[in-house]
Amino acid sequence: MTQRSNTPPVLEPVRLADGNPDDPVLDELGRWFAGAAAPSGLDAQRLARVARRLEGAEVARRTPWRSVALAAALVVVAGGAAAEWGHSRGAGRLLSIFARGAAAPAASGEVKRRGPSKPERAHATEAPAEVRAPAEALPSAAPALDGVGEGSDAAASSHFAAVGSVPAASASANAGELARESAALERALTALRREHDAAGALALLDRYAADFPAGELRLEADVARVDANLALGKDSAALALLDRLPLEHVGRGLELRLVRAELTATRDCGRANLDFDRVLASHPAPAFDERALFGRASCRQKVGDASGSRADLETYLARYPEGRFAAAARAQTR
Amino acid sequence: MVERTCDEAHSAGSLGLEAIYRAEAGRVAVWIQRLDPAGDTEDLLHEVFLVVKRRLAEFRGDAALRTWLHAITTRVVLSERRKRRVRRFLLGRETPVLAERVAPKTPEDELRARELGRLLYELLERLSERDRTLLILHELEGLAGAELATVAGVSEKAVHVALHRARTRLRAAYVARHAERERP
Repeated sequence: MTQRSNTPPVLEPVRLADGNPDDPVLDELGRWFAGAAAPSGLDAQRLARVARRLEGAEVARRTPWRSVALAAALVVVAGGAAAEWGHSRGAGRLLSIFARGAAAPAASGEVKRRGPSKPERAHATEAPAEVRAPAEALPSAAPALDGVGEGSDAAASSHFAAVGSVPAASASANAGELARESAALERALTALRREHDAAGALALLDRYAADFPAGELRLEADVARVDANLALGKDSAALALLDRLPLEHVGRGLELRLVRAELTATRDCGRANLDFDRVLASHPAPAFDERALFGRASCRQKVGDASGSRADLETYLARYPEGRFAAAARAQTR
Repeated sequence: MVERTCDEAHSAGSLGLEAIYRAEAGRVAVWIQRLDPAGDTEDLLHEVFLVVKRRLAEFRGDAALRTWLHAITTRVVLSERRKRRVRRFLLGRETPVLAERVAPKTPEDELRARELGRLLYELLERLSERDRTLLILHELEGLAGAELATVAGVSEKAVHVALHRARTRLRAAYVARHAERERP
């Protein structure tokens, strides 16, 4: 007689893709898992390239020096911000470290290319040009960082927040108002960028808009609202906002124009192509160039411009033979 | 079959990095893309096999070679995603790539599959790394309980509990997403 164990056998877990007739939500999710496209892996050429790197015992690109670089970047960001803060103490315009280089509402836009050595610029990894409002255009100074952020992290991050400066002499009664406004916006940006809570960020942005209907930072707030809507998949709301924004006066204008083109392309390729054209004409960074080229090729094809589409696809393949849309581009040029 | 061949080769003391790479690299690349569609597959594959190279001598064959590779791949990818989160925190977030949506119509089911994949990963991104990884390995990669337990370094029972919870949270994320989209 065989002895039975007291431990019940561990049954194999069932996969969602096997169906869940009792739960329509899980059943639907099972369909998503079952139907999701399988990744294509790497082609032989790229596998061989990795093999060559291994043979050469090449150190992985992301091994120590990358961590060191990241740490160094952190130090530079902190140092730069601290220096900036010290420089503009009592007279700085407050912008969150999370503000991604969104520029001030530009009274007169002085377009300037800047390196990524300061906190606000650190976010503009892809945006090649930023519009910077002249200091005089800014209202009076913000005092210290009172009320900025609620937790210790927020308080710490606010030490990186002083960006740009105005003469200390111009400090006025508006300073407190601007500090309050900046703190309100920072809370929304923290929710969006650090807590990845887009819905919460939208609620905070609504509160910001109600509290500061004519706020100095409303352009930045609108850009954050675009990001939040995109994160929530609310493409129509994002597009409506993008259509209203003066993109030429926004720090991430090029990137946002590209996003607008991609969103518009689903319904109006003629209009989308105008934005794609402008993005491409500004010699964007490769990541944007790639998207714009492929997007325009797709739109040109949709509006019946087969030769234009082909030209874009060929340019794309010449520039980005291993690009993220290379396989699709190749398939279409065949 | 390949796995058996590799395991036999290993037990015979003749398993080399080159043989494993030849047999498994393509598969590992697919795992990487499943776990991190936004990552640089080539770089990550390189890193995975650097770890394999370093730790090959320690591989005693307690687990199947593929399970061992899966565990390494999972750790490398998770580590990269963590680093990327730090970078994103420091450098800001890239807007989602929407260009795929405007790609000209290719076969209907391919589009549908791509769309489902996009929706699915969008949802998975709302979960913790642990839940996300478990679900991808189980639901998409088809890893069974014992393999998952080896990869995660926990008991099989713990895997079952974790999977159940991950599904519950995925379901909640789906419902929340649905509610968000319904909102005007």
